[in-house]
Amino acid sequence: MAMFDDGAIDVLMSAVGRESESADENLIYQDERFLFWLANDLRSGLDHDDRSRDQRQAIDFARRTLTSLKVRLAEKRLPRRQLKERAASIRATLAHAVPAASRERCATILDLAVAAGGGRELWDEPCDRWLELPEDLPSARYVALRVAGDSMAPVLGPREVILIHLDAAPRVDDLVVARLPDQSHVVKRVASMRGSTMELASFNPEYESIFVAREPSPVVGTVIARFTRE
Amino acid sequence: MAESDNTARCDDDAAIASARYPTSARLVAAILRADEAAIRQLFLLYSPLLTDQARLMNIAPEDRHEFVTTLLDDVVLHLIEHQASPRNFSRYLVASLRNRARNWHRDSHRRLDATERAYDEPATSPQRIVAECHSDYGIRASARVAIGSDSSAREPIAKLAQRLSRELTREEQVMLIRLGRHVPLREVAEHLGVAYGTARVRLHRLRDRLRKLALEYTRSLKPDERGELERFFRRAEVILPRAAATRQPEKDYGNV
Repeated sequence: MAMFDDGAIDVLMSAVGRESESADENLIYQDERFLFWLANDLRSGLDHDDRSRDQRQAIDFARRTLTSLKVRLAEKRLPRRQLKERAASIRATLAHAVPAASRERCATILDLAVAAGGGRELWDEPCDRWLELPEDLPSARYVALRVAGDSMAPVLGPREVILIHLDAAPRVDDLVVARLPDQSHVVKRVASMRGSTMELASFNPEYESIFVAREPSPVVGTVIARFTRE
Repeated sequence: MAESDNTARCDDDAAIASARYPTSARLVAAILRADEAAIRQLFLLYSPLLTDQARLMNIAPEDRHEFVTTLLDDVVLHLIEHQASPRNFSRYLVASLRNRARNWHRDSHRRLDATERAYDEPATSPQRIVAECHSDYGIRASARVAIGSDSSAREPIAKLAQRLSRELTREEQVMLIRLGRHVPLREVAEHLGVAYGTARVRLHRLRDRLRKLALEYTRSLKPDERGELERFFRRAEVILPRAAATRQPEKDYGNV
């Protein structure tokens, strides 16, 4: 047949080759060197606009992936516990209530807008509710705070209660409650500590990181547990 | 995940186009440290390949980017969390994508079947509300393309490929796939582990064999199917010069 001259065979080889490639269970296709070659060839075939778009997408992708990783890490480190609260034995400000609550294996609960920041002095807040500490937690100075805002979603949702260990030294990837220069308090993840600066990041990508000086330490305490009513 | 091997490949000699991560083992090692630059590089290196694979697996164009990005995201998280170093990283990625694409199509078919059943049995089906809210045309138009169902022009070529997969040896198919992707014959020879001259001889034989098989196949076709094949070649003759201008494939395998 006239159609199978050299040119036609070239076309046929190309078409059949591609068809074989898309065959579902084709083990022949699983060749590492060929895949490398193909990856580079496809990449080198991109035009300038495609490359620029890929660069932008790669930056977004890396950021999102690392955020997902941090979220998973935080979810693992902070399992949700059931909230058990009761009326405080004494009515006092936080500064006075913490030692008293600690003696009864409790932590004071403050309804402070932690994530949103209200510009109030934490230690002067009155507190009338205590959280009963889970038995596996060692005795220490704790404060429980109710979260506001969605900057730490999906790890911390609004109205969720977090337990803060007041004397723990923060490390990278810890969730901390920090006091900002405008006197507001925020709960954030320590993204980095380089030189004299600490980067406090949110899980929600819509919120920018906050950079604060490491000295004097803005960290009030480290989040060690989260509680829900259910 | 399709293939997970916890032993890092020491003799990873397959170079990838990155000065910072000259081998896939180094790239994976950097990803395991959650290095942001390595994760960016992973996306840049592999998203074109995986997007192409998604195309081959009949993932709809509007879904491909999300499909590939989600896969890469899951792969990175899996590697970091399990500190796993796949032996052949490209194969690992492609196999993962193919598995996921198969599941995707299977789930799409199930959804479509459930929706179609809702038309037949509206009173008993949980999909009743969906069925009532959409036109038949809308549901069919939104359905995924099934693997294997394709344009009529490609059908005779697909059938020929199926037939050849039975007739050709593994090595001949390896050659065919690479030449279909315009891999230079010198590199095909390297992939096969043979000398360039040997590869040329084998290619010559393959062309003869292909010509013979294609001729036999064409004779066995019904007139309308033969017409489709002829239309395919007519189209190819128009397309070929343009493809050659953009891709500039090495032509040394053309006339041996």
